[in-house]
Amino acid sequence: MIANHEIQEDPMTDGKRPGGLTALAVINFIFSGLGVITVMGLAVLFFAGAIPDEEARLALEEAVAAIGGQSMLVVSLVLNLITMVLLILSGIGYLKQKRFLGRTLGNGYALVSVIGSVIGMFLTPEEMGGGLNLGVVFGLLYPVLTLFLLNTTFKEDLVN
Amino acid sequence: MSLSHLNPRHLWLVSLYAFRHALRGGTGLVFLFLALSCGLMTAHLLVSPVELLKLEAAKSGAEASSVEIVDFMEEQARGPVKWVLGKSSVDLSEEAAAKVDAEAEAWTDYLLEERPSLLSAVLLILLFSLPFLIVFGAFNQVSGDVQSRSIRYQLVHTERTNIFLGRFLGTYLFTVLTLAILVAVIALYFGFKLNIYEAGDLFLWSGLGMFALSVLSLPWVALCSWLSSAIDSPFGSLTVSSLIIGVVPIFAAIGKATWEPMKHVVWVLPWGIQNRLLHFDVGQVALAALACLGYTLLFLALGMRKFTRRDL
Repeated sequence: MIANHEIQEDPMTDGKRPGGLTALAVINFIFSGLGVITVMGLAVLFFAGAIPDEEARLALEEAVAAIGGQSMLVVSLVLNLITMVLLILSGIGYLKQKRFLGRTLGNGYALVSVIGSVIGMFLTPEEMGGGLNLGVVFGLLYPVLTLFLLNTTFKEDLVN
Repeated sequence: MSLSHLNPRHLWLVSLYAFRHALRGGTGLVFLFLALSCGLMTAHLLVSPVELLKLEAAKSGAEASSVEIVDFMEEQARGPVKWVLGKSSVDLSEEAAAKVDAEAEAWTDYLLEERPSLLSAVLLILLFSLPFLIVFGAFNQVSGDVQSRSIRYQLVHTERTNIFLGRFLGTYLFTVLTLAILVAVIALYFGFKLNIYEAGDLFLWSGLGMFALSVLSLPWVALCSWLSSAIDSPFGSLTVSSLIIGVVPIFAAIGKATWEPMKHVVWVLPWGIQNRLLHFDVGQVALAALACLGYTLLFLALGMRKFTRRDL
């Protein structure tokens, strides 16, 4: 007869990094790459006033007004910047199986991202994707998945 | 094949472990993330115009009701949906083409008028994208462990049949659970936020849609089981599975331009029948479901034959 522990113990993978943690790190790096593009886009909007071309400046200023004004832009820029840094650092932490870099900063990323989504949901005008919609649910998907995985499935793997 | 070695208890343990290990192993995690992302984005893209129209109507004080907006969207969707459902009418005789066209018309009416249309559109897109998504969750059922030789630790404790079928079952259960979460989130959003369909209609149609997705997952997971048992490298298994799934319909479509019978190549995989799981005729749905089971048994038999005879 076969017992539970006989199948579940896998001596070949003991002490090794689980494939899921590697996958999580790769997704982190992909999202941080997308974050760089977002931050660059927001930075262009932030410095819209310095653009000499009148027509382009007015168009960008309109775009800033549409997403909720300069204050909303600053909040977005800061949150995206923090998220991007946390994604990169926690991705490295997952690969090295570090407790602080991986677990702590990974949880930090997830919480900042959830807070950012909630702020965006309330402050962004509905025509620009604000309010509760499937886009927001999609935005919450990865942070919530990260929170779940880091505190259950990979809890014992980030110990270095 | 050695079905005589099948031990329900071992099968259950192996499948339970494969199910629980799906997230930890990475393949399940990638599938979960891709399936939920793809489904939510599809639904979001389909729903956004409806929500924007509602918002604009409310702002301008117009009396456009949700029903009128959905009617407008249905009118826009009618052409593409009918084309997808009736595309086999190409190259048929005039009489047969008219018959197929009439069926496509009735089928489109069923999906867009009798059932919640937005959910029908999401389900049709999910049916099409499901094979490509499933590959990411099912490509590494045994190939990785065969490559690293770690499968030998399980071979000491149980028969190959139990390992092969157990992992298939675990992967399938994980796939179905992920799809159930996706369909539930979308249906709940349509029900509570959009508020344009009857709760009973939404519940029934999402249940039937879930049935279609669950049945369709069977042959595609089984195909991956077979290829995973035949190819040692997980990356090789992923590449070959994706290529076969994607190339077969393209090959059939291009091939029939030079030689008509080549169009039948599409029946090598369930591509030809999968849309019929959302058909208005219950008989057609049952036939499509039976065909899916047939494909599943065939792929599993081929996979088991390979896995039980190969050098591990």
